[in-house]
Amino acid sequence: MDTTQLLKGVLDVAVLAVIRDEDGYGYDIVRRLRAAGIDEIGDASVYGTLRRLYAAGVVSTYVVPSDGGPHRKYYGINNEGRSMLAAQRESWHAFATTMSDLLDEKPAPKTARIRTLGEKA
Amino acid sequence: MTTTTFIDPLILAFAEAVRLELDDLSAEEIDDLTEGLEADLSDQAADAGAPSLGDPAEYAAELRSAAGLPARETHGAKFESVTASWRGVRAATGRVIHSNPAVASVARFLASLRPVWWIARGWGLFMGVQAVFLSRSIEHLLPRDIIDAAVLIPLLILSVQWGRGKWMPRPWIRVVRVLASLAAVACMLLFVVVSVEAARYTDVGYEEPVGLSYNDNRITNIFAYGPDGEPLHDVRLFDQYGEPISVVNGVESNQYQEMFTMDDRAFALVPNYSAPDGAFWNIYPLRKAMVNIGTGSVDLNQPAVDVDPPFARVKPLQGSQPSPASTPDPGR
Repeated sequence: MDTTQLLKGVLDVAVLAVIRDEDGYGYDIVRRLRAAGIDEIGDASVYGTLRRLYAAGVVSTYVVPSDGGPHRKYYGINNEGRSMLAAQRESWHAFATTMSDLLDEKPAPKTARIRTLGEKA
Repeated sequence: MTTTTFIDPLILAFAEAVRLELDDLSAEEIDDLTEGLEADLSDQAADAGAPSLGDPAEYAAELRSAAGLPARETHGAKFESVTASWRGVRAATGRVIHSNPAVASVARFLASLRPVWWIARGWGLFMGVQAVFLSRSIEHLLPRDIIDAAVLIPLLILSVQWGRGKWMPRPWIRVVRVLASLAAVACMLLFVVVSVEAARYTDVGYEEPVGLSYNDNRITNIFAYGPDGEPLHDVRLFDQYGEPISVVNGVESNQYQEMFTMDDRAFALVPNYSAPDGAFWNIYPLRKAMVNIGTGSVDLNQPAVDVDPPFARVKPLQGSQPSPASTPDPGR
């Protein structure tokens, strides 16, 4: 399965998760995601996601100049971001459980549900 | 974290190219997306050991889609691939040029001529507008009135601004610029063709229309002699269609022709106003009248007098009876 496609839907929450405890700048966040095992995602996707989160008002930014080098733009999660992260964590768990149940092919009652879903699809 | 103290030029160029790809967005959106990009790319390069930069257009597209911003306006997939391959060709050409010093210096020389092309493009567009919208001939290079100037000057300014990369708020204007350049070149070629044609026409076939010529020599007067060899007077000549023959433009012309001087006096050949049908110039030989040198006009108070004929008389036709007297025969 193409995990890149899957990641696109959850990149927001993944990014929020890696800055939950510590602010980070763009590539720093990419590194954290990769360290966490999310390495199929392009850096531009991460930077674009950061911009979207900023536009949604769930992260704040600040620029830190460096000596002689390019300045870095840091992202930090704010209260709205934390609420969003909490809500999405719940949705994710619910969704992941559903998917796991679905894919693990549990016996009888669930099989009936699968058939129904299959017909709809 | 390593502190980067300088930015790789490749990274600077890449970041700039990415911003260009985003230039249809607002300045704020571009800033949001790319602020700190150089630092991020530098760190990434430091991690990887060398910058691994892909296609700025793809990178920008990924930034956009992840940020939930619309794809670049008016860029269909086809257009995108065309511009991408064009960029590829330009980059390859650039590498070839810069790898050879002689070619590079020629290229720099040609590049310094770009303003000339901008002016030429504006001018070509002017000629096109003249021909298409003002229904004027394309062969006029210079503006002839205020309308022409009002068309030419803005086109020149527009072309120069386009050349400087200004006045292109929307990406599709680049396409318009290409089309306008092609149209301008077409107009210039058309202008050259029309000019050459006009020049050839003038050189070979076109002369001030004259009344009468023979073997390319202008005929200014006609002397007729009768069968007896004596000069005739007041002869009227007609062509095969019955049209009166005139040595000037039109038998009813009021223009005096063929001024000449003799003994410090100026004369002109004049029509004979006694012609009943108005064909004043159809009575030969034409006579001459004195011209007032001060005013350049014929003194109508002086009667016209005969012009000396080229021959007093010619040999009579065989079997023709010489006239008993040498008095001129009126011919009619």
